Amino acid sequence: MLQFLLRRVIWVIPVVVAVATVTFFLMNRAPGGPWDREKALPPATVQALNQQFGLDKPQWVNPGEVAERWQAGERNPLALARAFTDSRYFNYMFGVFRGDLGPSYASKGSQSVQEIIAQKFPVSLKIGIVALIFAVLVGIPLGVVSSLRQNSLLDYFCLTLSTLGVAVPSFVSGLLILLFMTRQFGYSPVREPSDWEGFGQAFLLPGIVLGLGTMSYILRLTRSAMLETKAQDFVRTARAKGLSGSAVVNHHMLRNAMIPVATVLGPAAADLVTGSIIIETIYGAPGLGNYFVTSIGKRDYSMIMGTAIFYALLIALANVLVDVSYGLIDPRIRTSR
Amino acid sequence: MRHSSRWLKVASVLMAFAFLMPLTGAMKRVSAQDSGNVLRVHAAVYPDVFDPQKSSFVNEISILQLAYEGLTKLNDKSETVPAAAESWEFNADATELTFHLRPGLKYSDGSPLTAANFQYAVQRTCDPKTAGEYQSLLFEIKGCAEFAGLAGDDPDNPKTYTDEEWAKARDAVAATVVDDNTLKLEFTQPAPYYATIAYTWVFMPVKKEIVDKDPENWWKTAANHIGNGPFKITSIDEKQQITFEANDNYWQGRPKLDGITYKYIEEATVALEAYRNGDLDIVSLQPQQIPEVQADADLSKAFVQYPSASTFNLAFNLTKEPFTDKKVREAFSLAFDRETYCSDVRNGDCTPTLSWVPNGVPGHIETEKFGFDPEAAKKALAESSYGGPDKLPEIQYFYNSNDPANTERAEWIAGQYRDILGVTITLEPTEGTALVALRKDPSTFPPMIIGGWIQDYPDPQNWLSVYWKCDATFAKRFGYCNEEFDKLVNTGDTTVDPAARIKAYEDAGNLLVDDIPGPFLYNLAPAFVVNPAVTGYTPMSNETEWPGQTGSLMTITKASS
Repeated sequence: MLQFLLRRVIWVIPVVVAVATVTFFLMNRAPGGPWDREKALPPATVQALNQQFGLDKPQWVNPGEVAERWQAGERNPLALARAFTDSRYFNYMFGVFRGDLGPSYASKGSQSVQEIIAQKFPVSLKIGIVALIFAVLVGIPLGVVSSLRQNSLLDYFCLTLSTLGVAVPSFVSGLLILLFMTRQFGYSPVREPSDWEGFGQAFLLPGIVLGLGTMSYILRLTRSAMLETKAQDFVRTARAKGLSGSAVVNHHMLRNAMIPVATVLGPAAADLVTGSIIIETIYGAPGLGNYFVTSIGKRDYSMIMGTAIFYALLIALANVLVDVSYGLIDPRIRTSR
Repeated sequence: MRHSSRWLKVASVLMAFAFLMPLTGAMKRVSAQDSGNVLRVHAAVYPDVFDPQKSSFVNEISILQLAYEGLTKLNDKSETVPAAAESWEFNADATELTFHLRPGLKYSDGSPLTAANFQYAVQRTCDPKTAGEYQSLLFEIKGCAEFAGLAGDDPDNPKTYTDEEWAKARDAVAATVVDDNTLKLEFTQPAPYYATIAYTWVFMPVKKEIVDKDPENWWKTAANHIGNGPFKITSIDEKQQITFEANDNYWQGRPKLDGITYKYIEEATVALEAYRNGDLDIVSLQPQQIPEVQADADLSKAFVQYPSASTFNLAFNLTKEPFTDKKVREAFSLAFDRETYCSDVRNGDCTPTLSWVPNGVPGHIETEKFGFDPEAAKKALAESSYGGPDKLPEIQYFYNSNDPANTERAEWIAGQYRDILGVTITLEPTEGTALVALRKDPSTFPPMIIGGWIQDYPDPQNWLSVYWKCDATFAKRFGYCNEEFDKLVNTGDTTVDPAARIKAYEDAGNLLVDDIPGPFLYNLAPAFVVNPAVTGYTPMSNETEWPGQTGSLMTITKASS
């Protein structure tokens, strides 16, 4: 088990490197750069900014620097190799392995990307945790109830709810719920900065809205998986040997039905905790979700890279957790490895 | 079916719990608390950087203008009036400008403010290590462009410089401290408009001791903002709010307000809801909200709108067919119904114009030329070298697809040209930054696109010379060049006599109208809801963030007296 875990964790590294590399080259293919403004900057200003942020280096490798060093009499292969890799790509990747995700260009280098992530992630994480708890605590029970009372009024209600939850985009449901709360209950749409410290009630509404989609998805998955297991022979056997209804549901049906749910839960968790620009915009939460989208428009290269790497890392780790949880849920998977 | 009823119970309890939790929180009604004489202003986008010598966006400058002040300032009629400097004079040919500071000026912490602090602002702006986006505002000051250009301007041939070279270039910037209360600027050419430039943010005197300690990060800490403006920053909560309080050490005394709070709310619907709930005093509106506000009995009483100093036009690539033909450009100007576009398509967030320099800025001209006239438009197209719509090459209209509202506008424009001129226009939605990149060069500049200018400082030099001269970055991009126009604006830029100066700019403005380089369409008119209890402000054309933000800071108040 430990070996399996170790192997899976080590595999995360090449995955993240691959994601970083692809993102780096895709992002540089996009027209425009971080200093492009409606009102153009003079060439001297752009040049100075590029020099400040190392954007004057070649993108991929730097043979020019090697030639220069060679001319200057440098023969140390290590120094020459470093000169060859004195490029934007390698400098960035070396930085990543040292834990340095680079300066954010939009803030003119006043903040490093890891600082921004460290500052903003907790808020997104807390909203995401609320969303996840909501999705699991509401989605799974409703899915189970719905499957046990298939084609009942309750089942139809749950199906309608889950269809709405998946189909209504969060910028509609988020706004409608906020307006409803404001007009019916005098809930103020404006938050104080202190509301986002600790674990206050400010996280509830955005968390629930964020979790609606996942909740609906989990509800449907649970329902269909339960319906499938309901018809299995081993369930009938369990019933036949006289087990109580709740024991059959808890030990035999639910455990089997949880495999597909656990599979989606991992990536869903990574998705929820990294934040949503829409939810954060509507509820004024100072989270990380905003940066994913705005950094691309601003061509804030290191921010694009940083958020992509961070997201990839979370998804990869979440998948490792899911693999581990399979073994816990279903002993057959544990022994087959 | 015992089990299912138990599940039902569990589920219903959980459901009730999950849904009631937020309600219980909401019951603690966060009602419109008594905010005292503190103005609560909605701001949409939190700035990336608010360091006077680095900032460039309106949302950054609206913070700086509260906490700092340049040598001059603008009054509520957009005129340049004394601020930190009580007077100034040019030499005979306007190549030298001497500012006389008020004696006894103080920073908000009570420390003295002298000419050396303003010299530092100039040097820091020109510094290649600062590389502020508006450093080119000071390139007329001798030595500034050289200092800024130490790293060269050719990406294939970057230059390096030593610390000594850097210090030498810094000292060569011609901003001289004559004595504690006197600062002298020398220019590479006559610059009679420079007293107005001295109002801009690059002249705001940040303290060297503070910046030196942490050149990149200093501005993020409220306590580091020791300024000379009517307010001082008391707290900064990134992406959430910035609070200001009245500065007792301001030379004009204490403003009427006790404080100002900027609340950052990106979602326009939420901001308006917060106003309705009594949580905000000023909310800036999106165009699509204007009809809703005007139709509302209460909100319509709080509605405030005024034209801003920004002009938008239909920009053509003048180096490519068919817009090389002036008759085609004339037809496109005559076929554009500016009234309907502003009132219906843009929900009334703009006012039509037929000239470039907006009303209220010196050098503005009134003209009737090339306004909406469908018949004349058809005639003009028939008189063009193409003889009519059939032989025109394909015309693409590019627009910024980041704002969904632009699609509707683009479709309306294309529809108008199809109906009136019989011209087919291909729409090219493009991502914002990609579009900026396309506009860098005439070879990729779109055939047709909405262009425009938002004023930096209220002088025709900023409108005409900076934008339309043959060697101006902007005119070069779409290929406008008229020697005669250049001659007129050069006269304006270098003439000391105000009347003769403005006359030259007016002539240049008329010439620009006749050339039809890109039909002038509208001036944006920002719209707000303002709490009727707020009084003592006169909105002016450079106040795009909130009415009163520059010219009325001393008088605006919420107190009823």
